[in-house]
Amino acid sequence: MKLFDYEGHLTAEGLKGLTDGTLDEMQRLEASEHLDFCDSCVERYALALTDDVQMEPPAGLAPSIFGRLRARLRSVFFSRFSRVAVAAVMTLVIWNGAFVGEGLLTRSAQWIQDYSKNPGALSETLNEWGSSLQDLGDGFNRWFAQNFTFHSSAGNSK
Amino acid sequence: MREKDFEAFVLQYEKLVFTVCYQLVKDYGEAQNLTQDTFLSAYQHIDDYQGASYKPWLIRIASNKAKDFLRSAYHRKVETADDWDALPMETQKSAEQEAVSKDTALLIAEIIRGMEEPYRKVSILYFLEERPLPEIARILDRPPKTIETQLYRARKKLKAILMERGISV
Repeated sequence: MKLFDYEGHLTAEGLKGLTDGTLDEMQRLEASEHLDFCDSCVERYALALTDDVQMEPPAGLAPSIFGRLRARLRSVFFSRFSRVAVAAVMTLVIWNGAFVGEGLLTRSAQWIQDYSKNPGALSETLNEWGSSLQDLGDGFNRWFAQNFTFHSSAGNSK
Repeated sequence: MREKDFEAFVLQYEKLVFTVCYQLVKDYGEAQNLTQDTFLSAYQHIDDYQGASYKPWLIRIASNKAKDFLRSAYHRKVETADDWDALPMETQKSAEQEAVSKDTALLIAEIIRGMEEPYRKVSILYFLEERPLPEIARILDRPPKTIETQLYRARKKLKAILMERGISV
């Protein structure tokens, strides 16, 4: 079977082989490479993919897409959040060192000395920080659930 | 596009995208993965897309994902390329050897011109007209990486044909 014509476009036979599933692996690779850059063949392929030709996807596919998208957006959000947090801490450190004289090192040494006398207070402080982070995470999840819930709704008409 | 609109977008086009992915890779599980990848990629660029229809745009993205998967699978299966990179090099030869070399070069040119697409044009431009790869990519309006891949396969085909005819290069 001839997959490409003399001009290098997919033949009608080749397009049919693609939709019928009769192309071998190399032919499918060649077809995918061609569809990656040829507008006219993509248009022809789009026309060939009528409703009766299209396959029913597995039931959980759309929810899995939203799950992955949500995970990616969360990752991007926390990545940016942590960069902002580091920048804020650096700013405080520099500001503290520049304007307060004794600087953060002295304060840190005092902090360590205070907490080593009272380990319970350190544990309480860490628990408070953990609780705050948990609240932040819960708030984020609630925002996501409100804005990214799987619904059956009408699609776009493009 | 708002997230809720994108949900509807996925529902509208998931059959199309899944079909393209499956028809190209012929693996049900991998087609699901590639469908996810396609929509994730679409989400990142959908606000920049200004075409009249989403259908060809999504097909192009899905084909690109399938292409990467198939190329990776193909490279894992085949041996790596030889360093054979060009037509036979000219060295000091006798007159008889010169005549044989010219005959071989003519035969190679004939074989190249008789190749099927998508290898014929790229082989003519590279082996016979000795044009650089970026220029070939521009002339044929194909991605440079695709040109490289097609030339690699064209070399293998050419070498196999020459070996069949008992010609060593």
